[in-house]
Amino acid sequence: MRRVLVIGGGLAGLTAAIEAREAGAEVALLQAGQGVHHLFSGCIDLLAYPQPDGPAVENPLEAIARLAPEHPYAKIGGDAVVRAMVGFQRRVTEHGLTYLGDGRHQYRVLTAMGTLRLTGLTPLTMAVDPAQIDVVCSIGPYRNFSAGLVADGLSRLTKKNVRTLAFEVAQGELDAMGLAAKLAEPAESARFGDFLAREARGLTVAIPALLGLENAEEQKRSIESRFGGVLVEVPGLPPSIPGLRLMHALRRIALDRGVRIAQNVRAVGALDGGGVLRGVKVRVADLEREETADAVVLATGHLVTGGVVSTRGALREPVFDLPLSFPAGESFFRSRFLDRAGHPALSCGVIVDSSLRPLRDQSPVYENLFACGDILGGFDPYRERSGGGVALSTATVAGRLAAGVAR
Amino acid sequence: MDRFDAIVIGGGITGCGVARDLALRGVGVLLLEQHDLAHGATGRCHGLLHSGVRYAVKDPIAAQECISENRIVRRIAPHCVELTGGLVIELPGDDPAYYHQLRRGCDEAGIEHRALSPADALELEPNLNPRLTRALSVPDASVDPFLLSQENARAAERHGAIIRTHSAVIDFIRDGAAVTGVRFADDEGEHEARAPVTVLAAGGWGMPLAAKAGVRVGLSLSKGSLVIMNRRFCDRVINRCRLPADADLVIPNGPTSIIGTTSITVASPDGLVIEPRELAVLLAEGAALAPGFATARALRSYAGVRPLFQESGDADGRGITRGFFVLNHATRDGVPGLVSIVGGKLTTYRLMAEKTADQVCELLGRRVAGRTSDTPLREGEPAPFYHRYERLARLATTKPGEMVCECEMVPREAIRAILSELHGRPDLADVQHRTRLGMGPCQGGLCSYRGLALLHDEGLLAGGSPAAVITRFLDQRFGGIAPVLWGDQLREEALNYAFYATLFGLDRGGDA
Repeated sequence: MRRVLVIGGGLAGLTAAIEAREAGAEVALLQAGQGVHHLFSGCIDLLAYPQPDGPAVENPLEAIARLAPEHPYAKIGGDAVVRAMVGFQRRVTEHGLTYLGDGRHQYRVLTAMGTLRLTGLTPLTMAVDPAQIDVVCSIGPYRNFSAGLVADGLSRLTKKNVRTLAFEVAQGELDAMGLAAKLAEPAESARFGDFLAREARGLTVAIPALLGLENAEEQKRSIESRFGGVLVEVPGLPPSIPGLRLMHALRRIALDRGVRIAQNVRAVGALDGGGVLRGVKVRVADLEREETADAVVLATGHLVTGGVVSTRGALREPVFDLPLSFPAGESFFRSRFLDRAGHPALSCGVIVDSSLRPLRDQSPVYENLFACGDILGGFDPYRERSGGGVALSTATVAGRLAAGVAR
Repeated sequence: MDRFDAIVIGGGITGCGVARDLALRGVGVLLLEQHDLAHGATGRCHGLLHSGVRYAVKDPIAAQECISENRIVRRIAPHCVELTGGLVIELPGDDPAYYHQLRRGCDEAGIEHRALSPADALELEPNLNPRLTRALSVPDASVDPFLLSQENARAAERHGAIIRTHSAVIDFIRDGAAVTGVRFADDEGEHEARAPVTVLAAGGWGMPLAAKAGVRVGLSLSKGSLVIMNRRFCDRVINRCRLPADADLVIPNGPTSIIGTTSITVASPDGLVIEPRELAVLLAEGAALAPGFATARALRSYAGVRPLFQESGDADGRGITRGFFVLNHATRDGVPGLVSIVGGKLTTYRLMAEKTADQVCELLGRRVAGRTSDTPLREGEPAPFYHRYERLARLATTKPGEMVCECEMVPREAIRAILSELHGRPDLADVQHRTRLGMGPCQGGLCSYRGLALLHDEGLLAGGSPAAVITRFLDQRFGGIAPVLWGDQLREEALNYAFYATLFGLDRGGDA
């Protein structure tokens, strides 16, 4: 059986691993740490702002078809994006997570800042038109959510008077994980539902994204049945429960399919077979050893996750020392932090061919190395709001290619 | 409220000190600051309470002023000063003659100093360069310039002064040649205030203001850049044993260390840029004093201008005296009603304020002596220096939901306590200056949201846009962060960008 090694355990790595496995390969996924899923909002953004100075797009797939050739979406084509989306939705549904969206329109999702964001695929728990929201309810003592701030922002945007409520969980001193676990207990869930029945019967209520790690949709329905209204989750600062929820589901799917996942294993270099990778050198604590493979998928993410590392004045891909696209003469940062054009340091990445193979001087560095997700160059996931969609779709392609499926 | 005995222009430590001194003498004062207190050189210096050792060889008068004021500030403002002590260390290659000149200079200026063997110095400060050849112990200390300015302003307010931040002076009101008041602007519009004497304590911003009164004040603006590292490399102020040069001072500041400075003459105090070569010098010289310095995590860089008084001549920044001068423009330039205070140092601010207030009182015809040298800044029990350990201890009694900033351990209550000083203006930078919110390793990543939420809950955002308030804060702080973004700090900042731009959409105004 063909052996595929996937480096990275985020959205891209897990997706590539599942795809390669479904295509018949033996798959091992190596993760340097234990994952940063708690940093991920849970929305799968497809594409909202292709141009720094242009308007938002309402039809992501239509905009994807018009992107410049160096964009990862352009390299794999729009059909691959649709296939990846459908495959993703099918898989997570099996594990009780519903993601809505068809790529031809955007969802507007209310945030904990009281602002609205555009996303292509949204978890069911966030998929409510913000204009429908009547009440914003805090869940005490959670700090990273201000009902007042959210209601205030929403009132400005919808010209509607949005009310606030405050619910306190029974046990007062918990972090997001603890609060979500507590709120998921049937008794606490019922108490919350009864609270809403008294204070907001039949209304649409926005709450911080603290529904359970498991069975969030069931919990939502059960609370809703008690107050006869609609509950909407609002994403905010980490730790993000919807992010963890999705990654737990993908991880379970990968394990169910027979992917071997190894945590705290850091890929540190190539086993070079002369234009072909024999595998990678890995480090576990202080021990260095070798993992051999027939193909390798690089899905290490970007600066936040260590897929790109930096020293003063330099950015580097640390596993294979792959060349990074960086416009010559550009400085790393623009002078404004919230510049709508983004920052060059955050958008540099690995240059690949149409088979997602990293290139050096226009030739593949290794014929059996494929890259996917945030580490790719040619796009800016932060600015464009395209990180989730690029991760899903390039990982789907990379996973299949690594497993030996012809394009 | 538009008539006063004196108007003070500038809310740096000098202006705040002058306002307090005058208020203590019963003079009715209005202080006007264009941004926030300590916005200029005060908030962008080392935070070093000089023993005077730095000037002991070259500028003996400044050295004497420093040691004498150092003792006074410790006494009147113990809660603003961490009594770190300081070391002067000589490294291989430093001129050995300088060490002896320095000790002589210290003797002459009255600065206590004690020779330490290299082994003793290293026992006190194990992170220092082990190749150090000689060391002297001196009474340097670390001072919080923001707190010191705020405490002077608060004391002035208790004695009747009016302090107005975010109020920029546009022009002087004249009666013939005489200055009789000022016109200033704030968020609400333009206002006038009148007083028989106006004090110009605007530091680097003083020249163009003085010109509006037809007066020339010769200032040489010397930019000094500094870097804050996220570790405390030493518990004492570390001076290099050589004539003052670039990057020869490391000062412990709370949980961080500050290295400074450079000295480059600039034309304006606004829009200062920290150049890559300045950063390179600061980090390399920092590593000479304490190995490992350059590879630690830099949190932020900043630059201020030393507004050095230079009537004529062309000495560069390091060559000009750190002494100060009170200029009575009536006798100097034929413009009655205007006094300038120029030059000087944070350490000698009290003396500068006293001499300025003496001049103002003389012009007002009041015979009241200053009493700031023996009046504590805070009334009642002398407060201790605000150690991190005390904040840590307070954690035990603070509910987790109440903590707004974990890095600096700022609870909601600490922010509520200073809200009245914002005068209804929702500005997170002003909160930061008064509480240390957002000054730690995450540089505001989590706590700026919580700070904004608190401002909202307290009603300060009514009518304003929360998105605009937090965007202004995040953009402002980035100027100091961007030059030192690499390694872990870049990871942190990439994450902050993911939250505030990608998730919250603030790069697009948040109204998708």
